[in-house]
Amino acid sequence: MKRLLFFPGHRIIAYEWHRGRFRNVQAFEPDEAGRTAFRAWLDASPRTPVQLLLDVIEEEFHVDRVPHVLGRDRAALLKRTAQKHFRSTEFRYVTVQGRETRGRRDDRLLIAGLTNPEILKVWLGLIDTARVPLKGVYSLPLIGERLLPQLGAARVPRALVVSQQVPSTLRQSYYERGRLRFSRLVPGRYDDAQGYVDFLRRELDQTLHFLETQRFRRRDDPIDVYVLAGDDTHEALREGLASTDTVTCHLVPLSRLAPRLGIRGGLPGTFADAIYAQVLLRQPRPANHYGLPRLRRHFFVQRARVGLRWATVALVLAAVGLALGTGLRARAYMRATQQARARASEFRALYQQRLSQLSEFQYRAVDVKNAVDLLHRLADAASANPGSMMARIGNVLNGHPHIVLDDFTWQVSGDPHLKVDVDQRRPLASGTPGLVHGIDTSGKIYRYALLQGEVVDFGGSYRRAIQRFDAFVADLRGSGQFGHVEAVEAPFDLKPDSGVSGDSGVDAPGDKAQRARFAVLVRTGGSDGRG
Amino acid sequence: MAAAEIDLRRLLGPGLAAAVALALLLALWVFGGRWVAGKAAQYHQAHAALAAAARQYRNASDDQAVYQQYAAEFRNMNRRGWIGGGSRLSWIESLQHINRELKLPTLRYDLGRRRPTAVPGAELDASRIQLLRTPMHLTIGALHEGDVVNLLHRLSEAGQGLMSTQRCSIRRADDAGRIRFDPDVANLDVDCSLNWFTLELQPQGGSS
Repeated sequence: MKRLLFFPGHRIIAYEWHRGRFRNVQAFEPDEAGRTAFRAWLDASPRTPVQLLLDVIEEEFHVDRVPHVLGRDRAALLKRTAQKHFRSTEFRYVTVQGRETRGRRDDRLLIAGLTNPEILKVWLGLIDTARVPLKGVYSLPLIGERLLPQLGAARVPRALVVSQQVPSTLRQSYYERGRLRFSRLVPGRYDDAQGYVDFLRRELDQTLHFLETQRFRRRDDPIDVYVLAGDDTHEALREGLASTDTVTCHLVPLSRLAPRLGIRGGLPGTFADAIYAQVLLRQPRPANHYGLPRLRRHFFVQRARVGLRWATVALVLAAVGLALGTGLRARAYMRATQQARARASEFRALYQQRLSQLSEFQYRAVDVKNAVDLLHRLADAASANPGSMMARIGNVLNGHPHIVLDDFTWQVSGDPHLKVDVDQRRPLASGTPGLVHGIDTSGKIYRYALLQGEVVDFGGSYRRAIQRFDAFVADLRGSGQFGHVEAVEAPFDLKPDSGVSGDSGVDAPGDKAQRARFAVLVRTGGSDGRG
Repeated sequence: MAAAEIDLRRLLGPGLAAAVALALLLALWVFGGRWVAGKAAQYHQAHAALAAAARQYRNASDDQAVYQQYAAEFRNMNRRGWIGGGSRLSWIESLQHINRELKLPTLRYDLGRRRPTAVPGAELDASRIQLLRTPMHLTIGALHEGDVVNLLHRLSEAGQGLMSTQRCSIRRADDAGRIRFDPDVANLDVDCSLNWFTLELQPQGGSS
């Protein structure tokens, strides 16, 4: 429910309003009984804010232009301008209505003020005493700007709205493109509907003339006049008001306007006060015109109380939500912890079970694996011995009865090109990388045999001895058992760069005294595929 | 009583209520947050314990697979004295035992010092696995070359470690090349260089 006070200058009228429906409309006279009743009305619902709507003769409207400035300067300039226009009252209101289109493009201002605020003093005092929140004090002509769209006059260049809120006065408000420029309230007395029409026409002419003299409009500028008429005067106005070339009259019946504005249950009276009241009450946060902060302090307190209550509710709800969220999170963690512990226990049990199966080994698995792998490699390499080489050479020797070996030296080496120490007649010791103490770790190992002996029974014929040696070497090579066969020393070295000596005399010792010694190096193993 | 004071008194109740609600919210925020943080810490702890237990079990499973793959060979190598074996006295006794059967006219041995040896290309944790080498030299007087091959083979099978022959030199004992058929006289003079390898393994839980 909302509460509204309408003050037309003498008595005050109170409305209670709920979703477009006016009820419990009361008028309070400015006497002791009226004030008492008004106080009772206020006390009936002390926490409900009231809005005060003014429609008084003592309200004036001025227009002015000021330079366009921003920020603090703007606020100060507006305040100073308002003070300049209304020095004797603190009930003043200033609003910027746009900018000039020419020159330095000044701001266009409307300044409104109550020239005699004393008329409100009694009622405002009662409101303050009752500690009833005063939401704001509003000017009816300014509220009328919000009525224009409903009249279809929101964008009309010049519109004059004529209305009657109480029987004794006539309100005429002039708007340019939806913004109030001027308004006047005139008292009037008439006896019947025709008298009202005459009164209205007379005042209308005066107002139009005033607008011309004040240069709000030129004589030939068209203007739309909207007359808000009650049912009792509607017929007379329809007959008595006529449009001219520049003045277009629109008769707006209140009974049709009220539903368009959302008023339910009909107007509470025959005048337009409820129309403006409806426009004001429908606005959630209407701009306050004359409500001074000291007059509105109970409203501020009440807003603060409401705000604090809402804040309390919000905080409590947040606390409940936080508690719930915290509880849920903690519960989720606890469940997950429980599950993790249970799973860990299962794994530990399985581990113990597995451990019991592994108790046979006192060594780590990785050490066992490394040991086996290493010993495998060592064992493969260590399997070599002279026996295999002896057997292969023996097979070849069987076909050469005149070849006699007297020295057999076998050696393991990682060097594929092992040299022979000719003087010592033995393979050189090898320091080939990858061969550790006779055991190759890279997979390449060579077995060498240095065969030393002599050719026998060659009858002193060097040629025969050489032929027999060559045949032996050829058989070694042709056997396919060896990867490399090298004649290190032949029985008789007949090469041109070698010296030769002998005894071919009759008394020579014969072939028994002559030795046909030789040395042959053979190799197996490595990558030649002959192990 | 001043108007401002009255206004403040009217705000006192809702203000106190809002303050209490705010305090409640903050208390819930702080203490609830700590409580949840504690529960979260317990959860993370339990999760870490679960991960550790799962890892331990998985490692044990892996170990079991390794053991299953290498157990037989490991036992065989252990039995042959390649791992942990290597008593010099046992080796000498084995040599004497072999020669009682071969009856070699000459069999002299020379054992060097046993020392750890590195194996190039094998990345081993020296604190857990150590390959030990003992250099050996045999001087043999043999009736024929078969004695040498037989001796080396039997030494390798004696179960005292891994034997590797590095070099052997066989020379006729008689410069004239005559062969004697006397079992107490050698026909061949043989010199062999060998390496005797054993592997030392650190048991599980042993100091590394």
